[in-house]
Amino acid sequence: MNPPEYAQAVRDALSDLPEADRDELLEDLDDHLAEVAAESDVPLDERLGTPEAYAAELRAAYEGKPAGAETRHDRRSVASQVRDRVTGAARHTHDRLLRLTPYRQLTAFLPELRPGWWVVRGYVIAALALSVLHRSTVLVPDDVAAWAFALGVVWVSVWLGRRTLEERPRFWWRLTAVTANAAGGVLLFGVLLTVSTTNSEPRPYAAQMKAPVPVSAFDGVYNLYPYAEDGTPLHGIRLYDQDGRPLTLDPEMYGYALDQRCLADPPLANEYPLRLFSYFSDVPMEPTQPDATGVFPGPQSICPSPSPGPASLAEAPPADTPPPPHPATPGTPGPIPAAPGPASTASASPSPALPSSPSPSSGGS
Amino acid sequence: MLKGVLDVAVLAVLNERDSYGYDVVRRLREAGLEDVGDASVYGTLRRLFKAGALTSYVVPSDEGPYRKYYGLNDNGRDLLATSAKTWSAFAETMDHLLKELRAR
Repeated sequence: MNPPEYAQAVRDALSDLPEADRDELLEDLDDHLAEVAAESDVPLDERLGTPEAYAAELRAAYEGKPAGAETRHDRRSVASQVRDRVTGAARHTHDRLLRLTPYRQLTAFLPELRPGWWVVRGYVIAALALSVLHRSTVLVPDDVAAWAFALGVVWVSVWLGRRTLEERPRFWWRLTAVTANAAGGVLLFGVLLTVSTTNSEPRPYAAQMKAPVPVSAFDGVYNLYPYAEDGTPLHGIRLYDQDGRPLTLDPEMYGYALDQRCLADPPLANEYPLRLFSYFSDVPMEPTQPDATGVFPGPQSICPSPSPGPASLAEAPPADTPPPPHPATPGTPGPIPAAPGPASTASASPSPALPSSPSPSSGGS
Repeated sequence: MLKGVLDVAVLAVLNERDSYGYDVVRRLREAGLEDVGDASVYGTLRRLFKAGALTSYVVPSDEGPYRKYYGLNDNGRDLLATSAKTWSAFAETMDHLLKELRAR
């Protein structure tokens, strides 16, 4: 309700007063209400109560009677009383804080930021929806359709914001809007937090975006079997060259393919040992040669459990080999921005899922 | 609020300096009368004006509509002086009455 409408409603509620009195009383009500309205963004009927209640209080004050609580709150619904409590408390806090200059400046400045906020919240909602759809974090839409969707959501958000600004919606709707905005803000904060943490964590897909380096130097090699210093076989070891490019082999050349049957995501071509299966037989591959320590690793089950073990990747490279992109220092600036980090640590484990796998200390059969 | 108290409060605020309606409301709230109703203040101002205790004049404002300022005239100052005396006596009486209660 804008000031003229509110003033008119008050006038109507006082229509039983003698005209001279009424004119005298309401002479500058319009200016007064405009003044009240200019003071804050909160709609008049929230700050002053209903026009009828306002008229009753006005009448009591004008006639020199005390304006008791009953004239303001009689026969009010619980909802509107709750409403008055909430807005009353908010207004009270607001009025008190207005005495502080920084708060005044902030409240004067905030409305100017509103359009920006509409755009941001629309984008965040779109990114979130796309992320849910793609089941991975989407920060920037990756195709035309996604962009169109994001722009559409931003447009709707701005449209809603403008409409809300013009229409002065009702209290409960405003409360909902405020809650939604607060939730959006928290969400945005969360997204930013996620972004900042993902930036410091390994991003295997980012690493994959670098062109892989086929290791062609070793003719006849189509798989690698890393072992820890103590001879424990390691799994999920991702190998990169000095520029952060994944080191890949070419098992297809030898009649083998990456085994994807046990995995939700396609396996990384540089995660060793590769899970291979032969095109010709369905048996998962295992090394058929003894390794450097002269130990035969045991057979693997088809779908080894991915449960992480105690060994960390930091122990993985043998002491005398040049260290790969060092995973234990994810934040370290270096020539390998896409260095794998702690997440690969989780999968780099002496595979506890291989109970039959003999360790060198137990002699190996 | 007790009958007449708002009158004295409004007169006191205006005695300090002339004000327009909403400014009176704000100053009363800042002074501690936080529950004072906007309509009560506006109605009181109009009644005091009608009773001849106030002068009023219009001042253009930079930001909004013209503001109607109210100030005390001689009648208003007399009224304030009388009311203040009455109020002080009343407050003293109440103080005295409640002294025993506080002492306990």
